[in-house]
Amino acid sequence: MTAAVHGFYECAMSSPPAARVSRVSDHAEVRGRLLAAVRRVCPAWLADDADDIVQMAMMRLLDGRVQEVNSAYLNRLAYCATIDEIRRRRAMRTVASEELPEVKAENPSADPGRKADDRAVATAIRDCLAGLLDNRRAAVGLYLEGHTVPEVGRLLDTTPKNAENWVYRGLDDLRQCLLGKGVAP
Amino acid sequence: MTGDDRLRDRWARAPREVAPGCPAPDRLYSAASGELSATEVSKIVDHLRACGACSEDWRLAREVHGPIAGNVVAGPRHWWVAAAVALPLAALALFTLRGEPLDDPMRAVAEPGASTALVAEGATLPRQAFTLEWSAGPAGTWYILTVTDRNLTLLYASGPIETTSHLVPAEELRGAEPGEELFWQVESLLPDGRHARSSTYGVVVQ
Repeated sequence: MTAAVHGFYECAMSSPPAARVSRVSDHAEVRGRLLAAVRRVCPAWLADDADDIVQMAMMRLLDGRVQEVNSAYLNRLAYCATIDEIRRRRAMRTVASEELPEVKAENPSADPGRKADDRAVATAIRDCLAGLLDNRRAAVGLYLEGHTVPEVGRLLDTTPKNAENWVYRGLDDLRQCLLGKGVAP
Repeated sequence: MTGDDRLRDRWARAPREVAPGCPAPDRLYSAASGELSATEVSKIVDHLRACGACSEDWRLAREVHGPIAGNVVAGPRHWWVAAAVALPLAALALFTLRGEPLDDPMRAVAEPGASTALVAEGATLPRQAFTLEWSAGPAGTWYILTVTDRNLTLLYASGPIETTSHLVPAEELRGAEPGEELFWQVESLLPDGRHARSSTYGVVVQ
């Protein structure tokens, strides 16, 4: 919890807002914009708690450090507040699982066989990724997280051509490695 | 689903542990926003590989922030513009985008639950009647339509709309040359809170 709150403070402080849009003193407007931002980032399972997350974010805004906020700032703040709450719940779940062994798995209806298969594939992918050349590992890692090749290039500060090369060759290496492990996702 | 999509899908739903040393949310957001150096991003990506929780957090950051530093022009300042800009513009253009994507990492593919185009791929539309249409989601779905040019410049972003067709005002297309190919995409805001982005589609403006 402490870590989560600490992270939240960092979020609220590390991005000075540009001079525009809403005054923090206009609580209703800021709150409405924050709510929209939180709803956008909030996973469906946490949607019912969007108001509470907004409240936590508002408390950070109202501590006097910031006078004006823009969209980028509010999006970042909404993200941080939401992630803090998600992490807090993850931590609670972990503690509950440790103390209460009878607590059911997150998705009790999930097929145990499929879950084991998914876990095996995850392990194989992780191990194979670890064996890739540095640039390819980072590029494929980002690609697997959902980034497009141009985005990979921008994040890794390289040309689109390089990024394309790293992703394609990295994916080839990854597939070869997976095949060697008998995995064909 | 292509081979790459399957790989991404398996990776996304693979059960992974929470690894120690999780970056602070703000640092994750900065990295996903392209504010950190390549070295720092690589370190975080290495952590994501081991940490399923941070991997989920990263995906959320990516969704909130959107594509990294594209040639996006300034537009009206509303919350939905941030949402619209968040569409994967970087997946557009650069290469030929006709037809459904094969194993092409350059192009975004439709997410589950996304709408599909009801305007023919590559169709020519009059500037004064630039109406785009897509398939409907479940009742209660809202949509955000974005239109870009080949340079990834955002030409138009609708607000959240309930209809499944939308006339793009001609004045929003003033930056497009006659005969230029434009790209469009729809993000569905589903009633259960999920978001689903469509594939990118190409049309020619008259």
